[in-house]
Amino acid sequence: MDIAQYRKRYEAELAKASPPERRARAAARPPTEGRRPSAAARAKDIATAPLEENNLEELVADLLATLRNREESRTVRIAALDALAALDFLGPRFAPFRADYNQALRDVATDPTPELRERALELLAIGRDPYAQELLVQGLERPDDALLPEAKAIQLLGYDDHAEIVPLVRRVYKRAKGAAREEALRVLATDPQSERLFNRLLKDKSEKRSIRRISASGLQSLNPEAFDRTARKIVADEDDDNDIRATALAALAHGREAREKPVDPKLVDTVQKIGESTRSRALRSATRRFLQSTDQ
Amino acid sequence: MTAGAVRGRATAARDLAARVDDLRRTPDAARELVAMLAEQSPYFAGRGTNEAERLRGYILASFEATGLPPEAIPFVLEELELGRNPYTVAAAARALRGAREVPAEAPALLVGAIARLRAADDVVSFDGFAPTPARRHAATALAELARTLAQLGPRAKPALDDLRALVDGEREMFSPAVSAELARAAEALERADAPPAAACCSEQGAAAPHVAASTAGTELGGLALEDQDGTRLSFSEAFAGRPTALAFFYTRCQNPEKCSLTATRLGRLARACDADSLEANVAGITYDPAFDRPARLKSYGADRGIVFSPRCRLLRTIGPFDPVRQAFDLGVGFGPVTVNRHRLDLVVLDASLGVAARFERRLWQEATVIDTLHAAAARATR
Repeated sequence: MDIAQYRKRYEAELAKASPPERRARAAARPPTEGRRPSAAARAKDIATAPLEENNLEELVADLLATLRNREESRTVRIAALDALAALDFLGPRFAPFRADYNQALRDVATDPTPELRERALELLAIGRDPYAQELLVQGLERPDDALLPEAKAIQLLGYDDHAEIVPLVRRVYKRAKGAAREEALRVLATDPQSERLFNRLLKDKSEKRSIRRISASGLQSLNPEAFDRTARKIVADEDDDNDIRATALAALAHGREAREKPVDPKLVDTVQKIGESTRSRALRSATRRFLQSTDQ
Repeated sequence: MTAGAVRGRATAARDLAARVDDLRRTPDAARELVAMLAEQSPYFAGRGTNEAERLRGYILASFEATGLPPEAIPFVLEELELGRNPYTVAAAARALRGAREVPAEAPALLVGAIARLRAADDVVSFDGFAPTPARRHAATALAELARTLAQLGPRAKPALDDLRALVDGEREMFSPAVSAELARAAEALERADAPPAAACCSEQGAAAPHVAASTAGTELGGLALEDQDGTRLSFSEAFAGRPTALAFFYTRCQNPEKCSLTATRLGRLARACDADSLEANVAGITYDPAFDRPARLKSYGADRGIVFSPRCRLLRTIGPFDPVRQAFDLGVGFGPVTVNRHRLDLVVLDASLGVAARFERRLWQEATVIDTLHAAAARATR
């Protein structure tokens, strides 16, 4: 029997008789000659392997090789990436592999497979990786070259509030629609210069609820006093959307408690009257919570 | 998209990096590189933190080729003591290889940096400026730190016990490649056939105040401030009449060794003043006044053990921070939205708001600041 045949038979026997972690390693190993279990079966073996492993070094090396292997099936590579991301939670035990793991993620960040690109870029962006940020910014500046949809790219760049992206996101906000516009606003919630924009959007009854809610959150974070003034007007405005009035009232209650501000009897009186008259369940519930928070 | 396309962005940074490349090849250009390192320099203005850090690292790594001039040593030691970015810390380690004399505290700081970065190692490359996926087997930050220790050899022997304790205690956190580098470093430190340790610059140690009396604080007497409770007062109302320890910070600082630790230490300093019956103010002013509104200052300080009182506050300027930066020549640079990089700065003001002493760049010790406040108080009563 030649060595290759012997190895194949040994691996097959090993995989059949072995505990799940060994099967995972066998599944993650780059393809050898001959038949292997299906991609779905190998992905499942990788996904169901226990994280605590005696020989992490070998397992991680196999998973990294699988992740980098563009000849391997998409499902198996995604399973390998998910397994590595889970191993990252081992903390100190994963430390010896961190540099290789980061490098593998950078390699995959420009992979032809969209799901792998997105997951790799997300994991790198969480760590504020400069290379990933450069790729994402480039995509926003030149949408034809973008590796990810605009909304996702903005969301990932938003993980770093020290990046130089805010001027770019301000520009993108002006042209963006739908999810990208919402994500741009979420990023601008760290930008004190966007306070007036949030105030205007929060007041604008023609804006979508989601945009007004993000604006409420952004304004409250950037300038709680300015938010209080606008929110009180919205709460008292019977012509405004009841869900937005409820959101504003809930945020007022939370903000007052967080800042330990004294109760304003005039606002309490207004809220009591709203609670008695409104037919909106959301608004009635918000008035109840507000009044409970003031012990009225 | 390719790495090549990425390199097409940020032309200004690329041009600056090209200038650094030129200086690396130019004799006697090291001092020009040092001038580029100041946080408040226009080179860093308007850049995000990542880009500012990368430029800084690229400049620091250049000192391996140009030689490390004495003026650059505080920047290198600061990075080894406080840095969290593997690229910049590795660059500081490379810089140290260009030193003709080794600062006495450098070996201990190298070991400290290895301990600090042991869970955050990453591949680093200083061959080019643009962030790209480096070659598969390029060196990591921990390997660069270990190689610098190995190069120092017996001159770094005072750090040998700490290095051994770290390697023995945290063995499982190092990759086989890094473990091998650390073993080589330990062997090199043990060698007995090299010249004895040469030291310089030990006076630039962590706790040493820089005594440079000036009237900087008096220029700010009318500056409007707001404290963590929303109380508005002038700089003079806040601080005149007794000595003051005044530090600078911002709540969204990403380096826990800097602003978070500064706030914690300010709280401890205030308690130490009380315990010492020392009539002094202890305060912090944020670099980021538009974001750090009173509620944020209050929770940030309270979470770090500050007990607020009229003598112990966190403050923000009403309006731009720039007058404070200029008056105290603070080492801070700003990106498009917030701070992109800052050094540690603490000034001790006398009762007339003159600067009695300042602590720059390195970690300050509470006991030393207390001594400085006592001295300022004693001068006032003379």
